[in-house]
Amino acid sequence: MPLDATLGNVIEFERTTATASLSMLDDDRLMVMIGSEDRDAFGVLAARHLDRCIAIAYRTLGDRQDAEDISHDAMLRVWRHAPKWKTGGAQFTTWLYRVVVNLCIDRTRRVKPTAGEVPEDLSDGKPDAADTLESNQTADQVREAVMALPDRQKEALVLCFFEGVSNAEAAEILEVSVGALEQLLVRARRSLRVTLAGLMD
Amino acid sequence: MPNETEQTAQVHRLITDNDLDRLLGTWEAPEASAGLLHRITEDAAKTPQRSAMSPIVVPMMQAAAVLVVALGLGIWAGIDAGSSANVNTASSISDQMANGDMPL
Repeated sequence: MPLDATLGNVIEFERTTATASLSMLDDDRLMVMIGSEDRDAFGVLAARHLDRCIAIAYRTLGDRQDAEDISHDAMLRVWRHAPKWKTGGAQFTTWLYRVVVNLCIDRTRRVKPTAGEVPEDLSDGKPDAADTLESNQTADQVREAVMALPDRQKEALVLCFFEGVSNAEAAEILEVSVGALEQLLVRARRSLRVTLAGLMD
Repeated sequence: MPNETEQTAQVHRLITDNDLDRLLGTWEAPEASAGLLHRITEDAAKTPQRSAMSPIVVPMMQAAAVLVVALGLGIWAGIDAGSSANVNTASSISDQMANGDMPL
């Protein structure tokens, strides 16, 4: 084997090993490393949380492109904020999800949703199965029902139901008491039961 | 013990809660599109990080730096003016000598 190829393999192996060992570190430790402009650590942390950020933003705003923009901005905030990160303080995900939720709120304030907006189709476009179509239609109705909820109820539902965040953490993210959060959840579910009653029969 | 009506209501609520959960579960969120993570890491590399210092300390340090530069410039200007004065004195003495006058 030529020397260059061997050297290349060694470098690739070391890089893979370094990334693998970084992925074993917790968020707090990665934030400290990112604070020293460690791009590899940032890549690992961003990869770890990106899909979750997109899911929260998508279910709050209902638009995939907006969700990706919000997640992009949130991750850059992680990068900028990292030198000021205090380990042992707030949980990283609590802080990150709060950033995502606040960016969503800002976006909602700037751009009011248009009435009768066509729901985004996330299907892959394969016209093979009628049940897939029916499932997509159901998902569209669920999406519309969730989008119609008041913002705070929607945020509570997204965090607690869709993302499985605990009530205590969701309350911290939304900066409300746990009792207030539970009220938001009860109201949201009550509204959804009424709106989606037709689908439940 | 809850009465029969309450029990029925509770069972009904459980069923509708389960149905609601199932319905909500049909709405899937997308995953990150290809290239988004790469774009984020590339953009981060071009983005300066915030200083770990307090926002009060940073302007104070900037003001101190300006003060030091100003002071340095002032001292330099003072030295320069002093040396110019020496040159002037020397030239005026040599002028006087050229005119045949001896300085006292």
